[in-house]
Amino acid sequence: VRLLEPYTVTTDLEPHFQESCLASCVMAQWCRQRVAGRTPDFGDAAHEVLGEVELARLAGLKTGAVQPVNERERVIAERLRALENNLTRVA
Amino acid sequence: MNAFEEALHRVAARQHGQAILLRRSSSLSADPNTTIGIATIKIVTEEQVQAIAFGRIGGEPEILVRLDPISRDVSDLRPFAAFLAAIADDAQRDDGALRIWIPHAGALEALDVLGHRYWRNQSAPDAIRRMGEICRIVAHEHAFPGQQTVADAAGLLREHVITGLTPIEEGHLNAILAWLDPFVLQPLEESRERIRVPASGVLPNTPDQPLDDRVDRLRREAKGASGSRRVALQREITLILSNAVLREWRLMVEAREGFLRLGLPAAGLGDLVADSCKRIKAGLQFGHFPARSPERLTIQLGQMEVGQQRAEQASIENDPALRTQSRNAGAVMLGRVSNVTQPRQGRKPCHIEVDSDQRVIRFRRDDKVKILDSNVHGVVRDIDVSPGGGVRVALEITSGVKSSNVLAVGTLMELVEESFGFVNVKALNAARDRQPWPFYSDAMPNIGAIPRPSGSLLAIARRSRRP
Repeated sequence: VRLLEPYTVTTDLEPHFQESCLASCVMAQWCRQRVAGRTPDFGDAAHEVLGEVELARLAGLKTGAVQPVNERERVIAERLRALENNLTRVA
Repeated sequence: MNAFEEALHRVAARQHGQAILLRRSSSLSADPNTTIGIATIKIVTEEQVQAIAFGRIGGEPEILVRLDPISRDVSDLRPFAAFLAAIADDAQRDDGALRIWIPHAGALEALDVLGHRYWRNQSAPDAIRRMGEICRIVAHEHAFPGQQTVADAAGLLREHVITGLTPIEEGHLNAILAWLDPFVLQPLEESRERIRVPASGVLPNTPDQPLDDRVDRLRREAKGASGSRRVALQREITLILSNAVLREWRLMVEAREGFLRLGLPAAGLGDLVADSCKRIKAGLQFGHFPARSPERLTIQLGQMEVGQQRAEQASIENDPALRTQSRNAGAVMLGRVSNVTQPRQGRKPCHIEVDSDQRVIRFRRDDKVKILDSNVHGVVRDIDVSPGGGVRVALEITSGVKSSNVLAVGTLMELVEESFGFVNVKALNAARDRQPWPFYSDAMPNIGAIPRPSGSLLAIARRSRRP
């Protein structure tokens, strides 16, 4: 049996990125790149409460460019708009 | 703030490329006259401090490097001990008013371990023991919610702002700072680059910066070296540690300035400041005595609860953002006065009813409540469904009965439960004198033989029921 070099199998791996990976796994950055721009990239809690959503879709929900497809997205869109009207940015 | 709101704030921060304020008021009072900073570098595996930067905020810090931190010789700690003793004297003269800025909680842990190691170490000189005691007093004070002595820069920023990072990444002070700096155009990329170098009071040990390993090797070499070779090795250790601890100090100063730049008002913190000053003054004057007996532990837990209540009350009263959150959670009730019963105007008795659209409130009968932005206080006497389907709360007004502008039908008001703010020390000391066995003894007192019941529990219950 010929063992493959680890780098040759990385494309076959299925990433399951979690926050704790950042503190414990050498593959964390590789896995995080696979969820970049999606809710898992904001942490476990964000992934859980918002579901797996693209950041671009969230921006569209906020502006109204994207129509919500379910109740969760409707609430997200409403809360994002309310937040936008009240938030104070730093700097 | 719940997880859903927090997630949306992170999304908004990422979209705007800037940190977003979570609060509209500061949880930290203004710095008192005696305000210092302390940053540390510890050996990861030994929990030993190997470098300290300390000094008054606004000036350059003094750097203390320990060439052999696991040695029994503690003379190298004398400058830090002398500094802390002088600061303690200043704070005592100012009735316990003291502020100690640290970059993050890791620095406080390092100081606490330092304190534990020396505060009762009979082989250490008096000055070092006093240093240990002051470290313990400061670390102990930090355990009280709402305390106003220790300013944990990273913790304060996390409490007041949110970034587009994950919560675990916000543990890195330098990463948060990237989101506060207007000159950083790509805060996500910049903060993730900064995370590569730790900001947790340890030396970096990455492939490109193997400083922890380097210092370890230099120490081993220095032990076997002599003359100019030994001096050169020690100089390199000093340089590495000085740079590392100075970096921690500068992060702390930058974080403090960033926090102050938020410009948040620090209102309603007077009681918390007074509590902190009192504890610090007593500790510095009489020494640190950890609570061990049941009544002392209960008093301490009570004081912590009071701190928590006072901090929450100050937030609700002075921070519109947190007040809204509390209203959503039912801790604050927004309603309109629907009925006032006051036979003689401006006199007791006075009862009012307040109707709210809120479906959920946390009040219970007999809770003491306060009408926000007024001097009116009352007690909840009844809770019912309002005609509109919300909640109707009946209050007996206990003080402020002359406030006719508030106690009038149609007035919009916000009710909040009043913090108890009291530890019954007298009752707890009386309990100590009585020494009840469940708290003060391991053995149950002998109360003689008790007849063992027999039969089913149902039959026993029937027999014991009064006719």
